[in-house]
Amino acid sequence: MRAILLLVLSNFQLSYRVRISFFFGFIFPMLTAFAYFQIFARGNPVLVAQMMGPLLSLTMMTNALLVAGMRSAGMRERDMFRQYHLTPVRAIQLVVSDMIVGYLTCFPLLVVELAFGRYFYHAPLGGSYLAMGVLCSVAYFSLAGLGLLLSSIFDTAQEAAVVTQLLFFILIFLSGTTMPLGELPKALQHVAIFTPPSLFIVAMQGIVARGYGVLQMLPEMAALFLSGITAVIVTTLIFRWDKDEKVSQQNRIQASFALVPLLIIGIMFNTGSRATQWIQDLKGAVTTSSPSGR
Amino acid sequence: MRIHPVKEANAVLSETPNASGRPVIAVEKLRRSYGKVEAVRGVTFTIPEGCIWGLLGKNGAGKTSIIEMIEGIRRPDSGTITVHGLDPFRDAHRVRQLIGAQLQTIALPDRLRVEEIIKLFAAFYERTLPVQEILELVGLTHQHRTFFEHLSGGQKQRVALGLALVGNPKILFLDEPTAGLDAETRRNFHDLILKFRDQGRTIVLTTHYIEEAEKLCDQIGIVDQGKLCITGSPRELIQQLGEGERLEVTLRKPVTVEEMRRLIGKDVSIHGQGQKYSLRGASGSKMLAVIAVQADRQGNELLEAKIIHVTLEDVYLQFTGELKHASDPTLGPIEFPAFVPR
Repeated sequence: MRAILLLVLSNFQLSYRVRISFFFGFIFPMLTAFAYFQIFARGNPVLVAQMMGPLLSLTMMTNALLVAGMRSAGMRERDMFRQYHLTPVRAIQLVVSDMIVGYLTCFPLLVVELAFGRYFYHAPLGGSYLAMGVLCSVAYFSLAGLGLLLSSIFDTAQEAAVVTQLLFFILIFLSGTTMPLGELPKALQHVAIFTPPSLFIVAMQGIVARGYGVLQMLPEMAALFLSGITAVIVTTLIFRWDKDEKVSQQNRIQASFALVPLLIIGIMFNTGSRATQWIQDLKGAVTTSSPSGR
Repeated sequence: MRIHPVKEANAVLSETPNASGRPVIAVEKLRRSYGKVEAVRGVTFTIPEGCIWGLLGKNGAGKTSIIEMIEGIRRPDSGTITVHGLDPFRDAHRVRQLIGAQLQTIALPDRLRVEEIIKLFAAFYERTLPVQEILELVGLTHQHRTFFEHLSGGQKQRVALGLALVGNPKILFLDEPTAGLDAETRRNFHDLILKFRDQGRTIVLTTHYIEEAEKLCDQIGIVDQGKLCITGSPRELIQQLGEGERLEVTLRKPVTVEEMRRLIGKDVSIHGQGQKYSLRGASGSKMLAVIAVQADRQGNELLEAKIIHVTLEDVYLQFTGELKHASDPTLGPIEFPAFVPR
């Protein structure tokens, strides 16, 4: 436990001291919040509430994929894990501490963004804040798991960066972060529901617009949590201490198992009506100011 | 400054039966290949407790691979390793509580301070030395607030040594710890290493500095092309090569090897060409006398002569076949008599 605490502390210090982490972790999300609320939502409280899910999703994706995931890939690239490998520290401690640091740097930002929308733009945020907090936590867990997994399955940090950024941009468009899910073509809506950010946005819609609590959102939260825990386990199993150690085909097959929970839950949601109905609720959120459900 | 005796430091050690001089590391038929290159080829040896054990060899000889396999960070293709009776892979966590290791190159986050790094790594061990004591030991007290990126190469090596010591290890692995350091820093490192040995730690050292191995090591293993050629104390190794002396001479006129052979006789090994020769035989002064007289008789003249006792370097050169030696980098291989390792 002490090892994890110290790892968290040192990574936390680094996230404040390294400029690029500071930019993507703090400056960029706040600029995005301003852009979403003031420019896209035109300061309209109802639209600001509609924007909350996509904004929080973008903040978490930036932190989890571009900061936490790439930090791990960078450390491996510079062969820093070899120094750790000589000590009794375990891979799971490094992975978990990485996630905790990401969470500790991201969660306050999410709170600030929520407060910004709620108190500055008077957005009508229904539902419980506890439910939002739990949802944000499991969603971050899922996204950070994905980021760390991606950083583990490529031989170099450069490869990991290219793929992570590609995935980041795909998710931005596919998950409803920049375009409401309901506005996507039907086929893409079915694909979108397999991704963690879409699950988060849909669930956030359930909390904000329908005023649901943790229990009602349990399926989405369980889906996100399961995908996160699978990603952590797989990342630990295939953890490479040495930059010269190549990723084996077996490791890549193991890594693909991390997607199984998302696949199962995506199929379940696609065959049911719950998620698809909520996606339709989000349709026209930007162009109209009359969101359904509230 | 208080140095914690290693035997008090780790409760795990009390379960191990190693008394001083008993083997703490046993390696048997160790093999490791990288692709088609056989880096380690059936190496077997034991390391007794409380000594400085040096692994000497050229770059790429297999030293680091052997050390990393003992440390448990590189898996062997075959063979067995025990460290304090434990398997470094199956019992990795317990073994790493017992060992401290310094890598050849150290990579750590640039924006962490020295003190923060030591504290972080201390958190991984059950029993640790106080951070302040580590800083004092490795001479980084004044740099404790310095970011890692602002340290010099020597200071980074000191951090690496500090990290190796932070878990109060019973066995310390130092992989070319003084490579690239200036003479003064290297001397300080030597003093530190000897101090650690005196505290009862076992130190496994790899180096390609022969004088360093001769100065520090109680036992030496010479490795070449993945094979351990010979082990023993420096004195034993020199004795096995045969007591003797080397005479380095410079003549006014160049002579061929055959002419030199006629000058000096059959019982002397000869290396060199033209005006400069290196001769090895039982007595340097006798060789000197003979060559001075013979050269004069043949109208030549002895310009310069130097008698050198057989050193570990000679043993090293014998086994590694390395062409150069410190006194004259232009010299070729020294032709020593055939030698059978024990």
